[in-house]
Amino acid sequence: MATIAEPDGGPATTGGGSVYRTRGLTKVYGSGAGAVHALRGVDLDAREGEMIVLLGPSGSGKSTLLNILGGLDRASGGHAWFHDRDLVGCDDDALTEYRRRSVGFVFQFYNLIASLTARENVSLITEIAEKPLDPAEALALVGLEKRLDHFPSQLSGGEQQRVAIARAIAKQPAVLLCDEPTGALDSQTGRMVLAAIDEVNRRLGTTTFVITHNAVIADMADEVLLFGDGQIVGTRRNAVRKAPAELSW
Amino acid sequence: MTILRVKLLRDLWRLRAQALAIALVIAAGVGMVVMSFGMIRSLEATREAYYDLYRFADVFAPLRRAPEPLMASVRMLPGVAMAESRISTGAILDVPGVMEPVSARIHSLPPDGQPALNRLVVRSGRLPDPRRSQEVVANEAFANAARLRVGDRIAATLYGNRVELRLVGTVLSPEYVYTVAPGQIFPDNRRFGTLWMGREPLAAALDLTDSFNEVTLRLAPDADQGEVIRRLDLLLAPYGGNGSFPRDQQISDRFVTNEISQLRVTIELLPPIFLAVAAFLLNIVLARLVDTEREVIGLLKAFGYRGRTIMQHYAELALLLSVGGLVLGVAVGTWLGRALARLYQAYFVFPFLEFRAGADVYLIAIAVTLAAVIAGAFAAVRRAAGLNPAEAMRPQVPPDFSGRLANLVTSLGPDEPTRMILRGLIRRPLRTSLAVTGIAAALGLYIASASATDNVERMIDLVFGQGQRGDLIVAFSEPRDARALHELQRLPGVLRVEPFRAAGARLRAGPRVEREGLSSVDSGADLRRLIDLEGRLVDPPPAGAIVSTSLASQLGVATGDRITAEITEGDRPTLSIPVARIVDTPIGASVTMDRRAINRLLREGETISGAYLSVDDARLPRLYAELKVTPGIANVTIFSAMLQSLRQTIGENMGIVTMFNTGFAALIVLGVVYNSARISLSERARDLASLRVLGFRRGEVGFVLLGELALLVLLAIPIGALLGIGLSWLLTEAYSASADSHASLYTIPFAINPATVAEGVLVVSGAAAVTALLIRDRTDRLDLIRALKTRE
Repeated sequence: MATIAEPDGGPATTGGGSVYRTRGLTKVYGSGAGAVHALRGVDLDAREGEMIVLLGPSGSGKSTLLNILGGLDRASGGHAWFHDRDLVGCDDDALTEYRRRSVGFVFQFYNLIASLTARENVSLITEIAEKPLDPAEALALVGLEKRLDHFPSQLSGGEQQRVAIARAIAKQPAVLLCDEPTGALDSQTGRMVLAAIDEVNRRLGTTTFVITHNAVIADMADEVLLFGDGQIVGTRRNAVRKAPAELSW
Repeated sequence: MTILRVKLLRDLWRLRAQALAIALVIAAGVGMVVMSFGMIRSLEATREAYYDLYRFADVFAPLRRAPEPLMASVRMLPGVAMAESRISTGAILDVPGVMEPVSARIHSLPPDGQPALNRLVVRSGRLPDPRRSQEVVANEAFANAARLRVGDRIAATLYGNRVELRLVGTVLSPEYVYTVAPGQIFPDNRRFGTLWMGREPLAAALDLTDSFNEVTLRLAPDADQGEVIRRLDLLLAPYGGNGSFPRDQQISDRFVTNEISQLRVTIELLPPIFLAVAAFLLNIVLARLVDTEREVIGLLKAFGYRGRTIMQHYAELALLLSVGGLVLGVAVGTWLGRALARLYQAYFVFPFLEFRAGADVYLIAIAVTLAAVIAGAFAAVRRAAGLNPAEAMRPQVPPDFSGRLANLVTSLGPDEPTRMILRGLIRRPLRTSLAVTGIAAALGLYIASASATDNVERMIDLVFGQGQRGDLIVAFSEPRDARALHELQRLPGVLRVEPFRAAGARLRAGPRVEREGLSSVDSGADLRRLIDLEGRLVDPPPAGAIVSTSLASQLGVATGDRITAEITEGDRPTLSIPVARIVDTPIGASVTMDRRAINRLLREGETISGAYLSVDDARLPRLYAELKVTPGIANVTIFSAMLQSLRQTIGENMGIVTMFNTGFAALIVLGVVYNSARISLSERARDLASLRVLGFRRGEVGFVLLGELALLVLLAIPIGALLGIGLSWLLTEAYSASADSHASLYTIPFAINPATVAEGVLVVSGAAAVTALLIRDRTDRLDLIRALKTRE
């Protein structure tokens, strides 16, 4: 379960399968009159194995939150516990280790390395992971077992995004963070990509965050967090998770 | 192989064109250093080995006449390891096939052929048989230039007697590495030669049987040279000793030293600058190259790659990008160094070549390059890795275009593409200035390299065009009464004669001694004028001497001081001469006085040593025929011939070095311009593709990219021209400063031909044009959809 939590609480209460807990998380870019408050105090609890969709318009703070949870960026204030460890206090090295062991990323623009094949893009991660999947296995999981040795330039957008998903999950991360994974794709391709993410979440039990501004996608989540102006403005729990194939936009 | 390695190799392949350009820049920097130092060290090693192996004398002592038994006393002098007597004289030769009279120096050979000191290298034929009086050998350069073959006959006027000689061989001598006629500083091998013949026939011709007129010495390793010379002079004084002198005042050695030290200046100054410029450029290129990988670096960090691993990855990329250039530079540099050393070996006429480059040169060249490359890569990786991965993967923050400069651009730029170019340059002032500096530095190097011949042309103009305007110099064997001038005047074809007085002397000021002659100019003279380095005419004062700056500094004298001159001819008076003026002259060390002032000092009537002649070209053959048989002439110098041989030498030697330098500079120019443009292309691919999507034509898009390049080149040209001129000036200054006191035979004036600057500008523009053609093709093939789909 992920809910807007009570504003007290600390890491000790995360028992019972909580992956993330944040309290009063803020992020400010710049300073003085030009300061931009990207996060204005976010409190959340995310339970292990769930599919969580962050829904909201551009600039509402979704990506900033995801970047902080993923250890890509640092909060300006508050706490963000991953299990019992506060990411806000971590230095660069610690964040690197954290990302290396625990986090898988999927980006809107795939961010594949053009000079590496699909298999090699995945190997890039499995080489530095502790208990990785076989790259071919990871690619099979997203339906790309026949495109192993293709370069990104030889793959469609949907295929590239699925390579990115395979790459993200190949190290069997504790969490999979997807930032607008379908943002650059048409709806049919987008559904294939979401299916791959759904598959990973169900099969591997990886706690998954998906950022989107597409409200339809929220139907595939266990939990939906509604973002607005740097805050969580609402939350919704789906009784039934829809399969990606059932979604349409 | 790890995946990062695979990425590395693929990146390398993707960057192959840029890698080639980078390799060329590295090869130019490293090759230049390896080539130059290899060449200079080889020359120095060769000279040492040659001198040593062929026992080049340490001290030379000319005298009038001494009996052979005196040599026992010479050998007894402390510090003398070996001593040898010989007979040496000047002569005028009539060489078949050479229209002009040929001046020669003739030395005697001992009965067993090879002298103990200044041993000869036989190049063809054999040494003279001492029993055959007519046999001679000649220095190879002269024999070649005068087209003499073994077996040819030569007529010589020796001491007023005409004798027939027969050439039996050609030789090299450590004493005549550089062969110039007495009193001259430029060689003319066709009209000046050195001959060696048996001692008996030479003694008979000169009436020196059982006597000698020159001593050569080799010193013991710990000998005090000054002391040996002092004692030798005392010993030889009663026999007309002219003052002995050490090897470093011997004309050939002075020249070789001078040439090598000038080469050394070029080499110590220019190649390190080449290497530094190449390193600087690589640093920029690598930094920009890695900057374009910013997103990948962010991604690797996002995935948990450690900073160290990423650093290592890009360091490896930088290393691999440089390794080709290093190998190429070392190989080509070594090869060219050897080739150049061979060229100079032929120029100096060394009988062999010791090639030596030295591990230190290789190590330094490689280390400097790698340091620059890796530092460039590291700086960029550190910049990218220092960012939060989220930020690194985000497109760079749009720059702030507000401000006064940008407003200026708005008023300057006639259309949007032009504004894009201008704002692109202003947006990153550091990058723009680095790119401009890089191109300017390459242009500067080019101009400095190519201007080397301008300086020499200027010197030739000062010496021959303005200073010596006659056609010939005729020097008498002995000073003669001024009436001898009328004899010269009456020779066929002579239009004008101007006499001169010259006297050999040892010049002293305090403890310092220099062996230089006094020479004269007449005020208002037309054929021989004293010209300073700025090309101004200097008239001789009625009394006192004009001393060249270099001699003044060697003697440590200033205007108003006095120089003691021990004259080494006639009654050998010792004179005290006031220094009236110190003048920068193109031709090294000299003391010049009014002719009549010299006559007065020597307490002689109107006496002359020879004359400058201007002649009617049409009647030259008759004049030369007369001069060949006129007694009392020591030598004849023909300016046109000397100038021709000088230009040929410069063309053959300096020209080649200049060609290499300019070639390397051109490579650097091309490498820099190409890399700047390529990186700009990858930085702007997205912008350019967007323009295409918006309906801009290929040409219009090309304009944005190439316009930026053109603007960078335009900005760089004036800066590069100034840099080049400054560097060239620095080189001339370094020549003057480096000229070791005894070696400074001439001073290279600073001069730059505007054509050289224009040539440099042309080369840079050419490189830009070639780059434009190569890049144009790439802008034409921009993948619009992909460029828009992927983030910058």
